[in-house]
Formats: sequence, C-alpha cells, structure tokens
Amino acid sequence: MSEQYDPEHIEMVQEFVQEIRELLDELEPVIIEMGQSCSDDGEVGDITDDINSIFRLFHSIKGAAGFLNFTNIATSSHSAENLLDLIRTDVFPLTADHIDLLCQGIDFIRAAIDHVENEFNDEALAEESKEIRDKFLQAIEHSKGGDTTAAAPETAPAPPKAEAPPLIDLYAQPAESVSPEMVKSFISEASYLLQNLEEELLRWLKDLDNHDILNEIFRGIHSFKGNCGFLDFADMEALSHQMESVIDFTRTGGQINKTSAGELLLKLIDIHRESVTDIDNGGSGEIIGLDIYRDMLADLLPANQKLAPIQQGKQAPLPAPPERLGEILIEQGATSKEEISDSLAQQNKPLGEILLESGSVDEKQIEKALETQAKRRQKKAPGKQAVKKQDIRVDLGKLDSLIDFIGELVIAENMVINNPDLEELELDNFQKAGQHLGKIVRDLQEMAMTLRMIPVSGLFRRMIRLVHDLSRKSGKKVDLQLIGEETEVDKTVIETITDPLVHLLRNSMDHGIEPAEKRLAANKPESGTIKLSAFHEEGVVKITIDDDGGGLPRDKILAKAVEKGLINGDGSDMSDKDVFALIFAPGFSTADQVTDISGRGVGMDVVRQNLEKIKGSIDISSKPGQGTKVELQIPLTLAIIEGMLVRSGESRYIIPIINIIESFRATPEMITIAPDGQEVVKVRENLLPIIRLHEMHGLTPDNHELEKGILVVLEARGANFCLLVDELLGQQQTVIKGLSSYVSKFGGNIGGVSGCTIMGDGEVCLILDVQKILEMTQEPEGE
Amino acid sequence: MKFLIVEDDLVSQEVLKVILTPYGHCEVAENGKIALKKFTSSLESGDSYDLICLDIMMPVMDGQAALKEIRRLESERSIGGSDMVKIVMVTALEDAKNVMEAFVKGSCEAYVTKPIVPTKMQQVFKDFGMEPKTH
Repeated sequence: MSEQYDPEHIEMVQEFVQEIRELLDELEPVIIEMGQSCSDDGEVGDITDDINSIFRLFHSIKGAAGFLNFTNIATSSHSAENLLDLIRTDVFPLTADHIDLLCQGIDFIRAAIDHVENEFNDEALAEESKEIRDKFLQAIEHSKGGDTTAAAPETAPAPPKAEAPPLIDLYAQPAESVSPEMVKSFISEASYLLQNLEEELLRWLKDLDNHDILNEIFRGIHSFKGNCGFLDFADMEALSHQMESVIDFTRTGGQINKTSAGELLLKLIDIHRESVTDIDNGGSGEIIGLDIYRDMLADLLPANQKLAPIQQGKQAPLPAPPERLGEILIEQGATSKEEISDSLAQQNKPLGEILLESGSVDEKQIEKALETQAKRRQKKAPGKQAVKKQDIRVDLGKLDSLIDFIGELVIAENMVINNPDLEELELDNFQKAGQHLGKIVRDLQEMAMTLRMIPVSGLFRRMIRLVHDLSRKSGKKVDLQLIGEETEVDKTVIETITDPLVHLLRNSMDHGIEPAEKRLAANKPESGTIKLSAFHEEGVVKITIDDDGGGLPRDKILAKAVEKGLINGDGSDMSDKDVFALIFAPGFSTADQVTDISGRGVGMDVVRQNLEKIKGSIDISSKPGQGTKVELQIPLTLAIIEGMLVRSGESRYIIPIINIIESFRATPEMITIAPDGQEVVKVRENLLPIIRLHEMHGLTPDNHELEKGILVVLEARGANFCLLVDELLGQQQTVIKGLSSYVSKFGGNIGGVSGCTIMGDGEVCLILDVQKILEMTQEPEGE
Repeated sequence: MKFLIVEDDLVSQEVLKVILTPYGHCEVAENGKIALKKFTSSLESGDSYDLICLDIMMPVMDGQAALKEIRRLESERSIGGSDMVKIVMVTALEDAKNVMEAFVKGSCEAYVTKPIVPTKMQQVFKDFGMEPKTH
C-alpha cells in the first residue's frame, strides 16, 4: 500500500469514519437490548431481526473497510459476522458472553476508526485485530462444542492481555486515540518550544561559535520532535528529526555553512509554527512541501553525510502533492532546487520576487506557477472541508457572549419601547415598529437559545452500556428504559450531569435493585427496571432516575447519620425528605460492604456539588420496597423568562408567569383566619394560605386590607398559595441577572428572591422565587 | 447461479452479460424499479438471485435507492446474514459519499467502478468464492 495518500483516499476515509460512527451509535444499543432479551437459561426471545441488523452492521464495516484496504478491520468484522451467522442459523443459541464479545468487537471498531481517521491506514492494528478474531473463533468453537453454559466462563475471558477498554470506565480513551486535551497541551508546549528555539537560533546566528547555545537548540528541537512523534504528527516529526540531525552534525564539529544553516532553521521554525496553528484549527498538521525542506536540509550537509530518511515503526505518511511555489517552479523546469533554497535563505519577501530579481526566472513563468498554485490550493480545499460539512465549530465562549449580548438587547429593547419620555404620546408608527422589533428580538433570543442545546440521547445511550456492564458485573438483571431522549439540554448541562448520572445509576444498580432471589421473594419481577427520563417542565429540565428496587432504608440512614454525628438526637422527628437528604453529606455511605461499583460514599456528595454548579437541585423520594426516584432539576441556561410585573408599595417585582394560575380581588366573605393565625382564602372550595408580600420584605403597602389588594394564586411543586400585592402592572420578557455574591451571602433564602432584572426605565427589580416562598411558609409548620 | 444486471446503458449491459455468463444465468433490468419487481417475484417464487450488479445513475429509480429497498425487502422477510443477496455496485461514480453510502447504508458486497474491466469483475467473483462453470 502506498504511503502517500491522495485527497480522494483521505476524503473516502473521512466519509467512512463518519458513516460507521453513525451506524455504531445506532446499533450498539440494539446489541445490549438483544442481550437483555436473551436470558441465561437458554430461553431466547425473537431476536432474528436484531441479529440480522447487527450482522449487517459488521457486514457493512467489512465491505467498506475492505474497499479501503483496511484489512485488519475487515477481517475482525468478518469474524464477528461468522459468529452471528451461526447464531442466526440456529447452530447455537446466543449467550450473554456472545453479547459481551460483540461489545468488545464494537469497542475495537470504534478504536480502529479513531485510528484510521488520523492515520488513513490500519496497519498498526494487526495485533488487536488478531486478538479480537481469535476471541470470536474461540467463541464459535466453544459454542459449537454444544455445552454453552459450561463453556461460558472461558469464552468470556477476563479482559485481554492488552487490557482492552475496561468495561466500566466510560471515559476511557482508546489507547491509540489522542485526546483533545493532549492536543491542546501539545499546542501550547510546541508554541513555547518554537518560541525558545527561535530566540536561541537568533542568538546563535550572532555568536556562531557558541557551543552552549547550539546544545540548547539541539535539546529544544529534540523535545519538539519527541512531542510531535508522541502525538503522531508525522510530517512535523520527520522535519524536526532532520533539523535535529543538522544541528547535531554542526554541534559535533561538522563542516557546514553555519549562517545558511541557521537561516534555514529559522525558516523551518516558521513552517512548524504554521503546522501547529493548523493543528490548533483542527487540521492534521501536515507540512506541504515537506520533501523540499528535507532536501534543503540535506543539502547543507556534505555529500557523504546524507541523511537516511527517518526510520520508524510507523512510516511517516509523506505529504500531499506539492503546493509551494518553489516546488511548482522546479516542476515546470523554470529553476532548480539550489536556486530556490538560496532564495529561500534570504527570503523576506515572496519567493517569486526574489527569483525575479536574481533573474533566474521570468515574470511569465512566475505568473503561470502562481496560477497553478492557486488552482491546486483550490482543488485541495473541498477535500479538507469534507470533515466539517453541515456544522462548523464555534468556540463556546463566543456563543456565550452572543447570548449575553442578546440578553442585553432584550433589556435595551424594553428600555426603548417603554421609555418614560414616550409616555402619553400617541405614536402609532412607533408602536408598530416597536412590535416588529420586539418580534425579531424574541426570535433571535429563541434561536440563540437553541444554539447551545443538544439532545440528551447521546448521554442516555452511554448509560445503556454502563447499565449493561454493571449488570454483568453484579449479576443483577436490569432493564433500562430511556424516556424523552430527544429532550434538548444545554451543552454544559450535559457535561456537568454526566458524572452525577453515572453515580446515580451505579447507586441504583448497587443499592437500589435487589439481587434476583430477594426480588422474587418480594413478589417482584426477577429483573429490575430503571427508568431514565428527561423532559422539560416549567422552564426547567428534569431528569429522573426511577428504579423499582428496595427503596432507601430510612432506619439505616438515620443510624449511620447518628453514628457519624451528622444529626443531633435520634432523628425520629425528621421528615423522610430530610432523612434522605442526609445521603448527600460528604463521606456518607450505608452500604454494608464497599463494592467496586459504589459504596465509598463519595458519589452523592459529588452529585450534589455538580448540580449546584449549574444551579440545579436534586430531589429524592423513596418508598420502602417499591423503589427510589431521584429527580434532577436543571434550569435552562439562558435565563430569560416571561414575567408578570407586580407592585407592592413602592417596590416592583417580577413573578414568573409559569407559576401564576390566576389573580383576583377577594371579597370579605372569602377570607377566614385559621386557628394558628394564618389567613386563608377560599377559592372554589379550596382553602389557600395568603402570604403578604409587603410583610415578607418589610414594605409599606397602599393598604393593609386584603380586599383592597390583588391576590395572585401561585403554584409550585403542586402546592398553591396566594400572594398579596397592590397592583398588576403587566406581562413582560425578563432577563434574569443573578444576584451578586455579596447579596446571596446573606443566606440561601433571600426573602424568596431568585434574581433580579433591569427594567426598561433602568430600575432594578427583584424576581420572586415562588418555590422558595412556598418553602418559607411551610417551614414553620414542619411539614 | 442466477444474476440480475441492473443497468440502463445497453453497452454496459452487454459487457456485463459477457463477463457473467460463464458463471451463470443473467437477467437484465433497466432501472431500479424494474429490478425491485424482479427481485420481489424471485423471492416469492423461491428462486432468488445469487448476485445483483447495480448501476447507480439510472432513470426512474437510482441504484442507491434500489439497494436500500432490496435490503429492506430482505429484512422484512427476515432474510439476513449470509443469505442476503450479494450486491455489486457497478458504476462510474466513485466519490466518497456514494461509495460509503452503498457500503454502510446499503451493505453492498463490492463496489466496482466503470469502465467495466473483466479482470476487476472476475476478482470480485473470486473473492466471493464463485468459479466460472466452464473453465
């Protein structure tokens, strides 16, 4: 196979990688599901269709990989195909071990496509591929042997020698792949090294006999080479290797034109910089015209010192077709390599000009070459764009500031439309224009909001694998149901809740779901169910994990809390909710024994911390013997709400519209006073407590009589109450600004306020947090 | 062996026929739609094709659509694994999108680019373990 990859091949591989990834994402869950429908006692549900589609998955991979000459990928998919075909034709039944093996196969393919994405060949994968093939072969032989159950322990060998992807670790990177963090640190490290090298080279050029500087340069280029090699930037590695050789030759007293060597090296530092920038922009860091630079370096050395090309395990892919002007000129026979390198040595201006001045080429030749260059660059471009196609990558920071600006725009729009100067003026046209502006601003707002949103399906689907692996490990059978996968959530939210979700699922699997015998004894189906759902509700995203396990043991939690001194007294007077909240305390764990799945008591603490980071909350409800439900509430990031502006005395407040049910003026006969002094109002057979906003915030209202104010019926978490205000001022879009930390410091509950907003006239207005107000009223009753 | 050549160009049809005839019996369809009709009735009569050569650029229904439809018809009937009909894309299109779509979405077995050269086709047959009858 040729080491040189033409753009078509590269494009083909990119297409391959993309298509296969999609297919894998789609079909990996099918494998897991299939595993669930195949129970260990040999009773197999109807899985023919699943088997067929998975067969097709491997078949497609085999075909496509074969077409691209990825023999290692093709042969391992072929062995998976063989296994599946035998199961399909009922030669032997599907077992859980086969599922495991297929998962391993998928893992291999995933690692392999990550690899070919960068390398464009799969030669390095021979060993892994053979391992996978052998396993499939073994499995086939064992299964054919007839006794599937006896063979099982052997067919699912402990993870292979090479410690293929550990099943539990969701974050494990395939060994070959390079994480974005690594690339990031490479970029900063490389830029630093190149900067240093440049300085040293400049120093050396002034002081050519200084050996120390030369040693310094040698060290610098050496570590740069190492970095490039480590991350498989073959072109850069090859070039720096040769630069290193030149310096080494000079350093050890070789005869060389030091000035021209120094100048050339400086030039090449710039080339490296370009490549690093390219990598930073998501490129491959390839050096266009690598050959010419290498030749130029080689020309510095005396004939008998010619360098052997860099020898390495993996032969560096040579660069794509030449693009540099110099190369094209040589190609067209207009000049020679020597002339070019001479010109390059003094290059401060475009190469073409230098060559012109020195009279070695004429203008027409240059023009022609420049044209060719432009054409070739153009031709190359589509190939590069193939990766990006429908999406472009935007820095999240930029997106955030866009969203911030839109928030400001909403405020500014309010300020214009509701400008006090315009009050009492008849401005028909202005009103029209204002409405139009308002509509556009709101559309823009919605658009901006969706920019950061991605569906949770990706996150949820990873959990399928987690539950499968945990289930294999713990021997408990669990059915994971995903609901609301299409729910879109802010990207940061997804990142932040990944860890908590893993912890919570592990907990459900380990502590929640009981072992099969226990479940059967409790008259429950043998396999447990965990429901993972996501949905939007009232401006928040809710993610719930609902298991039908044993529920939280109140007594055990209390006993543990007393033992650890987390509560005073025996806690018998605490509400279930408060007791369950104890499990979020740092270091809390009731598991009788710590398993390697969970039980170290760090999980829940981290869960809470992560959620607090995104201003989310977590709620646990549990019924003994029936299961536990954990509910994560996450606010939508872009904090713009529809609000109702109300007034109490001199102060104005915003109440989120979603909390408002209705508002009315009470008549005296509707109002009664409860024995405990709480005022209640009767609204259509329902008695609702009344909270006076002015009392809460120490204001002077227009009047103290309930009948003269307005009662707003509010709802939070299914409970209703009335809030007394003086006046409703109207509905408006509200941009939530967080309260500064020096305000929040006064305690978590600042009088039931969640934030503030800036009004059209520039005044600051507080936003009421209905839920907090409700909690405040319930606290004294000790609900 | 029973083959179906799906190809709108008469010359290509003839060339393929000449190449395939040593291996078995050939039938021809001018576009994807006709091919599907023939494919369905072959499944129903129990005398299914062993291999289908599929062009992509054809009138009425193109090869990519036909390929996917064939696979869908098969999975409807729970025909899977190595029982799936072997499909060789024979086409002048060689861009990444078409190639990968055929392989990944359509699970075709081979992709041969035009011009049709006997040795290329013969190699494909060899890979499938098919031998010419007269040889």
